[in-house]
Amino acid sequence: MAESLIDRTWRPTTPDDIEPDLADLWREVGRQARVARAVMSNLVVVRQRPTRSASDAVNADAVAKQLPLDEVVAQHPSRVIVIQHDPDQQAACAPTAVSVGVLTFGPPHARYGVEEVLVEAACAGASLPSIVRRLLRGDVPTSVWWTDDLAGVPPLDGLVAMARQFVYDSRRWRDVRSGVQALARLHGRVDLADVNWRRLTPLRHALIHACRDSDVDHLRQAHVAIVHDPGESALAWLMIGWLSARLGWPASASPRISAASRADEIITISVGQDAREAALSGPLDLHVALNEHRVRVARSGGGSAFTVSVPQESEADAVAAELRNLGHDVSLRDALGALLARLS
Amino acid sequence: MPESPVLNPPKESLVEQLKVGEMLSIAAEPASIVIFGGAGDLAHRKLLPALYNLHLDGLLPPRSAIVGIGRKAMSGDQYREFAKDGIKQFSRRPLEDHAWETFAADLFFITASIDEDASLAAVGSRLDVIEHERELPGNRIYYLAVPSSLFVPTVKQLHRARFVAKHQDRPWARIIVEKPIGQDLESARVINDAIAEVFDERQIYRIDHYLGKETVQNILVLRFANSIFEPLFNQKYVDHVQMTVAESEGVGTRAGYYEQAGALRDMLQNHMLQLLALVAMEPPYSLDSEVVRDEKLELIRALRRMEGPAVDESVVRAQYSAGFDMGRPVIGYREEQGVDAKSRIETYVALQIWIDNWRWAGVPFFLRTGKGLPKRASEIAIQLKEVPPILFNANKTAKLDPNVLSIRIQPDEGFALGITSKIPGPQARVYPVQMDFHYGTTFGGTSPEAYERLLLDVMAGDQTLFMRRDMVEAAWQWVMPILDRWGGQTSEPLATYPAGEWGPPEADRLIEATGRRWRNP
Repeated sequence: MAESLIDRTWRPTTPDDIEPDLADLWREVGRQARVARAVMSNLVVVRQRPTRSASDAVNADAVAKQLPLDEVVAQHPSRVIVIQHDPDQQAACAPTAVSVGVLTFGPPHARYGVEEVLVEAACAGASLPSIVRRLLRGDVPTSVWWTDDLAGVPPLDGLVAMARQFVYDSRRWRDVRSGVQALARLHGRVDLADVNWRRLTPLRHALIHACRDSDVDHLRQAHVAIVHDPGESALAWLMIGWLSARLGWPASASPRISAASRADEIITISVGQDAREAALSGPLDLHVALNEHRVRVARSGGGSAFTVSVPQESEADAVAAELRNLGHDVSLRDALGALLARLS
Repeated sequence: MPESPVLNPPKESLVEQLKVGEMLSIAAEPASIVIFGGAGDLAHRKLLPALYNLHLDGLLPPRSAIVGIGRKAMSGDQYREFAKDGIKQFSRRPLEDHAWETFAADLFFITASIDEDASLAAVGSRLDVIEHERELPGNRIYYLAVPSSLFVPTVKQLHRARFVAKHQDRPWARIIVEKPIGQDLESARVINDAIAEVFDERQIYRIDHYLGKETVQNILVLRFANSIFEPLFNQKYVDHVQMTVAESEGVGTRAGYYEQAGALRDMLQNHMLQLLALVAMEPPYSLDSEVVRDEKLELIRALRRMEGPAVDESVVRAQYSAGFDMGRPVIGYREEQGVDAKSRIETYVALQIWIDNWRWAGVPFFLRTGKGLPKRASEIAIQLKEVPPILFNANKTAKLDPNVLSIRIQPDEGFALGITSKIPGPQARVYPVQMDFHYGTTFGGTSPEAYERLLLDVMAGDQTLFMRRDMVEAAWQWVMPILDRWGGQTSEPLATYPAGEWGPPEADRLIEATGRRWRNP
């Protein structure tokens, strides 16, 4: 984690005064102490507008409580543009409220700050891009962080077109099929970054390690059963997608997937000649279990069990890590491609 | 006994003697600043607030008189109220009561029409009285804050009323003319000839307010006061250069002017070619105004001319159609009040141009400007060549971002250098980061407005930031074949772009055909 938050200075403003007011805030902050202005990217945070009257000013503190934004930008300093919109609105309009702020972090001798623009825009999707376009800095990459459930609030094409990276959390999906289908339009157009997908990394790596000396055909033909915690269906399906892509499973292949509440485990994968049997047999019989702290791999047929640690990451840590990684995540892309084929 | 050394040899005058070793904040001499169009929009929004700020900083020479001239019947008190209102609305610093009292005492207004000989004679008499009362030496600055169609008649009247003595050093007379200087090469020559009959070139200040901006002045400092950049400014290291001058507003109340001008005449022929000259010119051997302007002229002369079909290949013009401005629906150009419903005036222009000299051979320059774009922003981006496709740039699907030096003219003046850096951690992953300089936070306070600097320079007699006649005409010469080509295309469809977007798809294709992309400021 970065240094703790030192100060937040913010004020309500108007759409036309955003930049002058930000410049004023920087001068104000600069008069108090030396502060380096830091910006590695534009971070466009899109979220559904909380229910309240249109005349209310945008409350930056309330946003900060609902999203770990401060922690994210402390680690990945960005020009933050928070758009609170109303996806049901049909009319084009100007923002109903705008606030600007400067957040400063770090000790006095190494203080740095980022700027935030918070916009309430109960506008039709077609008019939102003109607001965001005005606010972007062109000399740094742009990432869109979609904080709503993609299944319920699908991404706006006009916003995605401005972004190099689209960050979302599939853990929020109430319906995996709808979430995957919402991503279909983005597939190949923008770098996708799924915060939830990061949680599968140790599991995938453990599985790769366990299969190091195995024949791919054996794994391809093996039965796979996945049991997941009831709130983790997206994680299970992402695993299916990844295995499908890597093993060349046809869309008709049917690994067993089920939900069960267990005290400790988030997801378990059983691989074997007959995964329905409790006692696994053969060189590929594996039982891989992920919890919050470790992946445990048990093998039958003489292989020794081993564990892989799970890095401890908050949501902010994970988002910041994704923002820093602008490259294509080939594994995620392939997994989503396979899931699309399977769920379409 | 040896004589004691003379530490301060005698100077011409007491003032010269006293000035030895001083860094004077007031470099200019007292003068009457006579503003034709003194009750107009430019005076209200820019000139009077700029003069007030000079006054606040103690830079306006004491006893100077600011005299507005206009057709409107207005008393001195009414003019002071007019000025006060402009300062309240448009000054970069708030109105201060004490400063206003002393500034207001410098303000005068004379009702006059340049169509009437007697009227200007009366102006002369009144100016003489003001100057006598204030013990001014008779130095005068005539600011033509009027439409360019009135430049010639105004100058002729100044001549007829014997306001100007050509070649006379003291008291001096100087004239400031605003762009646009003409509608084309021919009309520019007519204006320049008419002014030259009355004023010597040393007395003429053709203003382009872009050149008064701090960041524009900093271009020369950036290039020639830092050893890191200048060695890179050439065809060996630069891949291409982009210049964007974007305005978010539509044509608004300026339809009458804009319908005669368009983006090419309004922005490119003057502001953008001036910026281009500063970015690409050879190093001058001194900062003398003539030397700097000679180098800028050489650069304009080295621009490859586009004629006939070459214009269609390298220039895109377009008009904004209905779209959005910060979420609000806005109308298209042809629906604007005062605009012909079949107008073919361009509100957007993008060009790919070449400079045929040793330094820039083979380096494309992409320039674009327009109204109804997503934001008001001006930026120059010098993109360096890519590193070879090995080591960190070996992955064809994830090419490294090239280094870019971007100079922000407005808003948030400053510059940034984009470099690639390793992300901390065990893997060899990289990220494009910015080394960023902001005037606002580095130097604090607000930068002076362009007009403040330019007015001060006129008072001090420094022409460096003003356009010389040959420069203006060379720029028109280069632009004319484009206008001629367009003039002959009366039936071809005109490209459009929705207001609030970064121009038409044709402009994207112009740059993307070369394997590059526009960089939005």
